[in-house]
Formats: sequence, structure tokens, C-alpha cells
Amino acid sequence: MARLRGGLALALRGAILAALTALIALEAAQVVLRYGLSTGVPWGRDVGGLLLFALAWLGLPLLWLERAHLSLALFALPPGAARAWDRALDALAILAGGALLVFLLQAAAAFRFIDMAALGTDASIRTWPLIAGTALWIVAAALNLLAPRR
Amino acid sequence: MIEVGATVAVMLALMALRVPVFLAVGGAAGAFALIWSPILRGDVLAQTFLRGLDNQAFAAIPYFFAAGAIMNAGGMSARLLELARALVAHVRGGLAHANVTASVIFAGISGSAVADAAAVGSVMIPAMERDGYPPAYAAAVTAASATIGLMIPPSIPMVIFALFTPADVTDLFVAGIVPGLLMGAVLLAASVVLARRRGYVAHAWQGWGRVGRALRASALALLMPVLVIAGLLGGVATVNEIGALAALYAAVVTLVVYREVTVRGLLSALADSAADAAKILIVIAASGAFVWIAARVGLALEMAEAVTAAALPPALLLGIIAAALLLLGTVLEPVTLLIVVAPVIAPVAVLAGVDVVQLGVVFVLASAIGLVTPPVGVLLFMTAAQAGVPLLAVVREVAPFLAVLVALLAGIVAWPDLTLGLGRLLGL
Repeated sequence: MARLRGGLALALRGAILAALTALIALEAAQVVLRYGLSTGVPWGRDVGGLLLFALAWLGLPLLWLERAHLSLALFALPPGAARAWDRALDALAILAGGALLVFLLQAAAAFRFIDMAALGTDASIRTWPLIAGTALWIVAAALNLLAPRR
Repeated sequence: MIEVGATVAVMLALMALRVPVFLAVGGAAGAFALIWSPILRGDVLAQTFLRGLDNQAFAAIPYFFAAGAIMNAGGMSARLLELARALVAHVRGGLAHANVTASVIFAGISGSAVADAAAVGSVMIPAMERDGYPPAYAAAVTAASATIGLMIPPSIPMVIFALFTPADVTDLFVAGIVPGLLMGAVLLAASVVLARRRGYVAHAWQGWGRVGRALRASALALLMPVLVIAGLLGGVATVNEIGALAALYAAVVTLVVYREVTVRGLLSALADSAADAAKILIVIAASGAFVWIAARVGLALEMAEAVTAAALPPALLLGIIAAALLLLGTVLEPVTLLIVVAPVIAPVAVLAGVDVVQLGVVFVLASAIGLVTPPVGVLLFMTAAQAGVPLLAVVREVAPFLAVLVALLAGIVAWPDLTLGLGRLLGL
């Protein structure tokens, strides 16, 4: 379990790093092409959007694994109670993630009828980062629940 | 209207129960969908999460995070701290003033208060302790001055505000310069008064040569905010492109000129900044559902009617908003405040005659003050941990700094020229 947790965290960290690096490179390339060759990247906007979705939604399971999401700490809990509450949140995340996954798959089906000409595919591709991120969020919450980080 | 009230109540209750903000916002929207399902179907709810982030301009957030993180990892911190020490360490209580000065300089590079506090605090708190300052005071000065990071451009909260309101990010960046410098000035003034009263030490003046050497060493880092503002004002590129170029500039400066970080170290800093950006982006994605609900039930219209009926003068309305933000800021993170409250308040305030740029500065300053107010002052927790002192001791020491920041907020509400004057001078 610890190895799986470590592997998942490493893969997700690599994925968001790649997404951010690609976003920066794409944006800088747009400026260089505009001023250097008076042209642009026709698919730049669509790919940029996908990369931004990937950064946000693949960050979701990573931050959940590390319990690093933005949250309020209005009161301090005793360590035992804090652990129990964290596990309750993990269970809630699995339920919420499961429901969201179903809804996202429905949304993806609806998006199949919208064309994304610049990418030569349909708009359901835009839901993929959300679907992957949500599925991995469920895995991260299950890992936290079954093998809490020490 | 009752639907929105119930949704907000559920959201706040979930947040109070330590549910992560994105889940509290999304969960409240989910509860709305369950109860009023004919209005918001499940698949539509999922689409609102997609639409929440469906604006390429949001990419500016990770870019500015990346630029700041790369600069911090690449040896900029030591150079800027040396510059701050060279400038003010000879005055009584000099290290405290250097702490504030360093934060003003850092603010122009990172755009994140937490990053500023981490970079400045890790060096300045131990140095101040060695110089005989109480650790809680060192922590308080670090926390209070790190709030400047939210105001001086490039400011990530201002990018967020611009994305959710009709405000232009260039106008906001320019409008933040004077208030940001004033934040530094009032904090320095408080620090000078406290240093005299408590008899803190002064270091010997090291001469202009040291200042010149420190300036030369940090010139490339100091150039970054200048390039950002000049690029935006000159219309050379969009805020996104400027952000990406700033990150590239930071990478080139740290790898080629400073050479204090390896490629591996730089990638690690970049990955950390990606995770920090993801924390905000996922809240923005979840807020898409909330924005959809507010629009669907006509919240802005109802609020606008109420404000119009009250016929409040713009300054008074802005004062009320500032007071409410200060109150909300004691429990809500700046990001939550900006993403959840700004889209609802801004249209109403603008309709009532409040300038949206001035409103943005008030939003950012009030939420920055929230970072150093209990019970949820993130910077207080952070610097108390850095100094190894109880939170309450830092809260006590931060009180004078908090008072001058609140007074400055009142000044900014009362005198629009403090925020809008520089923009007018520049013809914006």
C-alpha cells in the first residue's frame, strides 16, 4: 500500500509538472510565433484548456493524498479525533467522487455531439482530465482510508 | 433567494467542519442539486465544474506561482534579503525594518503571501532572534509584512479578482502599487515606533558600497516586476503570456546567471508551484457550480434591487463591504473570499457607483489582513511554527501591525485617489 501511495503521488506530481511546463512552453511559443513569424498555433487555445484542466484535476488526487487542500482549521482536534475525522472525509470523498464520476460520464456523452475542429475530435475530450482526476481522487481517498499516511 | 441562502449555509457549515474548501463548495452545490433537482441536474452540475475553469485566463495563476517559486529556489531570497539589510539594518530595530523591506521587494516577484513568509521568515526570524528580538515579535513582523505580497504586482489575488469581475488586470496591478508601498510604509512606521519603545539594536552602517553591491546582485530579480508591468502597460502581451514569460525569465536567470539551483531543484520548485496552483484552480472549478446557481436564481439582480432601494453613497457602501470582508476574512482564505464573494458583490457594487478597481484593491487588502487575524490567520500559524512560539504570543505581537493595516484600509476606502491616482497619471 505504501508503495502504491508513493507511486501514485510521484506519477501525479510528474503529471502536473508536465502540464505546467507544457502550458508555459505553449504560451511562450504563441508570443514568439506572433512576433517572429506573424502566425499562431491554431490548436493552442484548445490544448491549453486541456492542460489547465489536467493541472487542476490531476492536482486534486495528489493534494488529497497529501491532505494539502485549502481548508479552514477553526478549532484544534485531539490527534485521535483528527485522524477519525480525516477518515470520515475520505469516505465522503469516495461517495462524492463516485457520484461526480457518473455525472461526468453523462456530461461526456452529451459533449460527443459537439465538434472540436482544431483538434479533429469531439468535445468529450475536455471531460477526460476531469474523469481521470475524479477516478484517481477516489483511489487516493481509498488509499488514505485503508492505509493512512504515518 | 432561499435556495442560495441554504446553499451558502451548507457551504459555510462544511467549511467550518474542516471539509476542504473545494469539496465544501462543490458539496453545497451537490446538496442544491439533490433538493432542487429540476433546476440543477447531476450532469449539468458536472458541466458547471468544467465551465468553472473554462477560461484560458486562469492559466495566469500557475504562471505567476511558477515564476515566484523558481526565483525563490534559485538564490533570489538571499540576494534580496542582503539588499534589504544593506538599506535599513543600521536604523534602530533594523532587522525588523529589513524584514518589512524584504517583503516589499519580494512582493514584486512572488505574488503570494505564503511564499513570501516562507522565504523571508526562514532567514529573518532566526537572524532576529540572534539579535535579541523576542521570537514572537519576529514571527509577527514576518506575518504582517508578508501580506504585502498580495498587493504589489504581480498579485495572484488580483488576477483572480479580475477573472471573476469586470475589472481589468492591468488596471488592478497598477492600482495595487501605491497601496502596496503604503502597506510597507505603515508597517515600517509601526516597526520604528516599537523599536524605539523597546530599545531594539541597530547595526553599523556599512556604506553605500554595500548597497550598490546588493543592488547589482539582485538587479535581475528586481527587473521582473518592472518587465511585468511594462509588458502589460505596453500591450505587448496578454496577462497569461506575460506570466509565462516571467516564469521563463525566472528560469533563465536562476539557471544561467545565478547558478545556485540544479535543473532537478528547479523542477522540484516548479512541481511545488503546480500543486499550489492546483489548490486554487480546483476551488475555482468547484465554484463554477455556485456561480451557476447564483446566476440561475438571479441573486445579483435581487441584491442590486436591494442596494438601489437603500440608495447608499458609494463610499459608504464600500466601507460596509470592507467591514464585511474584514469579518469574513477572519475565517475565510483570500482565495475563497475572492472566488465565492467577489462575483456576487462586484456587479452590485459597480451598479451602486463603486469603482471596480478600487473595489478590487479593497477586496485584496481586506483578505490580506485576514491572513493575520485569528482564528484562521494562515500566516500567523506559519510564522509561529517557524519561530517555535505559541500562536497567542504572535497574535499579541501582531496587533499593532494589524491596527495600522486596518487604518490603511479605511484610508483606501475614503480616498479613491490612493488606488486610482497612479492609473490616471498613466492614462489608464
